[in-house]
Amino acid sequence: MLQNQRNSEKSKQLRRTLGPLVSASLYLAPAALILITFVYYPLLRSVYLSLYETDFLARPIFFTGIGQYQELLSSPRFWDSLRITFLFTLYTVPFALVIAMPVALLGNLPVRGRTFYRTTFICTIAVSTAIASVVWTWMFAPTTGVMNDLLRLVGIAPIRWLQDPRFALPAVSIATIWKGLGLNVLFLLAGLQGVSDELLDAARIDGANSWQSFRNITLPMLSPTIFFLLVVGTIEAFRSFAQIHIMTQGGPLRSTSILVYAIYRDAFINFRFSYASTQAVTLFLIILALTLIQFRVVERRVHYQ
Amino acid sequence: MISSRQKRLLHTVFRQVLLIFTSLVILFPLYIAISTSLKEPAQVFAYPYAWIPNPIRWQNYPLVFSLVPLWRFLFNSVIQSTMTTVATMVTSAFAAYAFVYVDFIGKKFIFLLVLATMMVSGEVTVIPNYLLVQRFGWVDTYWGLTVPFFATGFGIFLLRQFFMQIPRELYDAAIVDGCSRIRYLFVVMIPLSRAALGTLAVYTYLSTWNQYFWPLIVTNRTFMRTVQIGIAMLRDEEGDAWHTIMAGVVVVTLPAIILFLVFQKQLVRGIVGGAVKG
Amino acid sequence: MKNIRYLGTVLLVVMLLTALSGLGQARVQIEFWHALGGHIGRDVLVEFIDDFNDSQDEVYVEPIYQGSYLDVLNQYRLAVQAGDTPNLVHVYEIGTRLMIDLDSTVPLQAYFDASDLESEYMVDNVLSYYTIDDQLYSMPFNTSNAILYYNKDMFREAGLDPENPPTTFEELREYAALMTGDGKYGFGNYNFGWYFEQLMAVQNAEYVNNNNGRTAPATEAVFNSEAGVRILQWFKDMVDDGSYLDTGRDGSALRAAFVGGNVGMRIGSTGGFASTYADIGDRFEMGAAFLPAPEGVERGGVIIGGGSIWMPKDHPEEKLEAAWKFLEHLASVESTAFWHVNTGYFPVDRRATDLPEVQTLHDEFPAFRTAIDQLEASQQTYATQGAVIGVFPEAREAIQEAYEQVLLANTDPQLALDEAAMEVSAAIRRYNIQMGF
Repeated sequence: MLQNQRNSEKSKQLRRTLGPLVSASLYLAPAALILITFVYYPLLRSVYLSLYETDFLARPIFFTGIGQYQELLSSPRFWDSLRITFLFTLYTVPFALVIAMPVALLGNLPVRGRTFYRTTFICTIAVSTAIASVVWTWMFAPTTGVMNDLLRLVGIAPIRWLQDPRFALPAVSIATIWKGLGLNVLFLLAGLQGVSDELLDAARIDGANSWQSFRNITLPMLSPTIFFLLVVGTIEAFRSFAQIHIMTQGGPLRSTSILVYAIYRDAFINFRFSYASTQAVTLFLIILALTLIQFRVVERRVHYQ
Repeated sequence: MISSRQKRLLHTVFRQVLLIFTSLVILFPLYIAISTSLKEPAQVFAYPYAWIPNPIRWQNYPLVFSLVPLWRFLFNSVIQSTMTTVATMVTSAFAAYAFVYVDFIGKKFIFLLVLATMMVSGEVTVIPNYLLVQRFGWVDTYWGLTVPFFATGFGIFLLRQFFMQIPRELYDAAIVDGCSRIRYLFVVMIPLSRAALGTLAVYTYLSTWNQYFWPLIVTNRTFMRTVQIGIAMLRDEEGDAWHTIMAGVVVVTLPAIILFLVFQKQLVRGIVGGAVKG
Repeated sequence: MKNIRYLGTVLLVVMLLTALSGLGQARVQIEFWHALGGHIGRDVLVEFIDDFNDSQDEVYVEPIYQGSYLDVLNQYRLAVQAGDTPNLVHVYEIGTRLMIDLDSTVPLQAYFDASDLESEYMVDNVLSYYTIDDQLYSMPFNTSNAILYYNKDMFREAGLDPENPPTTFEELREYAALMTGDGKYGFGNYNFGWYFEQLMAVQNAEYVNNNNGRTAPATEAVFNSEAGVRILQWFKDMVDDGSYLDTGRDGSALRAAFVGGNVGMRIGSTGGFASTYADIGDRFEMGAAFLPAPEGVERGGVIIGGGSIWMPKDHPEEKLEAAWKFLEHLASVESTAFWHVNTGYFPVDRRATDLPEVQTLHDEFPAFRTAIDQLEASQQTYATQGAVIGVFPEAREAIQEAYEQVLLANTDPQLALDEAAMEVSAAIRRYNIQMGF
């Protein structure tokens, strides 16, 4: 009797755990099938290859163990790439947000022609990275480019935007920020709609100036949006490829050689696929760690309604 | 003395000037692309820079269509983006629903695994993926172009965040009333999430439209190529004909801009809906 | 050359017609991957292939543009691995060793010997570049050299004789300084490893050991020699003079600067003649001259650049035959003349220069003739035959980085090249181990 009861309780419990698991699997199956096949399988394959030396057709030839990880970690180039990647992320994520914020605030002003302005501010969302890079390459051209002509008009000597290691990364970042502005502004504008007018009115009555109400009301209420943009932006920045490939090919002096480009270079120029895989796996771990940190540390300070 | 009315007027003018200036800065690269696309070759290389095309050369547009089969490329891009978008919406909605309304063991961990897929760079997985697609016989097919992107961590993440906004009580009440879980998804969640789904659709459409590396690898034949590669085909190692490249740039960007204009409201509303609040 | 503009329209019609006429016929389809983008790939190549397709009804060649040379090579590596190769593939000259070692193509020597093609009329430098261990592996296709382009009007303005272009590094530097000023630069260059290779050959200096890897697989890079240092030092000197415009890795920016009249002299590929002339129009008069050599150094010559076409194996015999038929057509006198006239690439068959259309072209645009003269004046040595190494793309990258080190970071040229050589030697060793040499 007791035995039976215990059994039925166990099976009930089992059903309570298994039931949801089965239905969850059904819901998750389509996405899981795709993600496992086209993301996790290649990723595991990369892990596997990173433990081997590969030939020129990316086939494993002999086992090297963690040898290539050791080589990577002791390579100054890797650390340099990492530094550049972080710098690029800094330029194109927080920096981009600092630029996008006033643009979004402008777009939120109750003025005539607001729809037009908003559309303008967001329109770069429709421009692809490849296209943006081609256009900016043309604008940054040393003698025939419009950027240097602008400088000439204000009496500044021409800058070798993409040829000078000091300017190349900022120049690529400018193109990237421009391309990403639309998305940033769009999300910020959306976030601004959620900022309660009553609170702002109350603050004004209490004598807060516009900076104070921005700092104390708008910004906290925007924090979920900002957080979201930060996370997605960081991931995007770490994965950027087209703009580097089109604008600088990692040069000059490797000043724009972010990790993904270094991986591309090893896989497709140097034909060292295993070493490229080693870097790929490392990159994956770095982004994963960063995202976890962002979720743990930054999200705590996010104000949710 | 400035009257308060004058003050307000000044204020308005100041705001308008600021708005116009910002608009000009943002539109500037697009202006450069358009104006270059209307120049004569000689003007393209003029020094100092020619700000206004003179004479205007419309022929660059028919020229660019005669140089590469842009119509075909556009068609391919539309098919590619549409297929990917529809599939992503379906897979993401199902998966996100499970993450919000089914309490299964290991949910957090599996969600983390899904998030992690956002961090795998496509340049890295391209070789194993190519070999896989090749084994499926999908090289030079729409399947090869699209199937690997039929589900994304981003889509699941976005919809999950939105679904979490919808009051849980609604779900509990519906279940008590005898509504099945799957029915609830179709009858309540999807209509309520139209805005978020719209956002995801536009985002997926645009990012698929913008793909560069994978289409280059997985298509060989010209008739399967997409517009982004069409632009690459206009470039020339020996020296670029910028007027035709820019004509191509404009032609390729225009559909995306139009799509954006058409769905702009949807897009903004979708995000306003609070898709980004956790 | 003006009619090039209308080619596009004509092409469409031709393509439609061929598509219609091709219906229902059992022709052998040949897939041809190539790396010719821009005008040459879209117009000249397509016209050439259409003509071929129309001229007979057994073979139908389909040109497929795969992006840059590096893209083609990568795409081809994937195809080999997947067992799904095209029938013909266009590979740049520096991919030669890798292509041989991949062992995925049919050497062409036997086909060549059995055909009507006569090697005695073929330009030696070209044939010898693609002949390794007495085997012709691939069919020379678009072959070019580096040459000095110069703006005659800027020469005149600087009080220089436009008919006497510089012949030495020193002279060129001097002239460049004279032409500089007012937003203009006497010399312009972009960071392209190929130019370094050419300027080494001009000094008859080798790039890797074992006779540039031609008598045995190379084991070490030797470009960090005196000759190599001279090149980078020469660039650096002009940078310090302020007469050198460096457009980094952007070749098209350099071209824009030259065509726009902002740069007096540049090194460029002979394959770009036709389009450069077209872009300049009547803005200024362009001249071409031999690449300069340092004073007191015995002149070697220039290396063949450009690409050749390989025939992947593992296809049925009829496909191979059909592919060869196209290659044979490609090497004919008329074909090479067509290429020369429309692009500037060399006529691989010397008899082409006697054809009236080529003569007319040379009279109107003497630069084309200068290019051929430069090639013929080249000594035949291992240095001018060019290096064959499997890791050439990486080597080029290393050289390009050395260039940046010297020009942008003030590194001593010797030091920069030593480092590059070390890197390339390591890559070569790795390659040799992988290939089992």
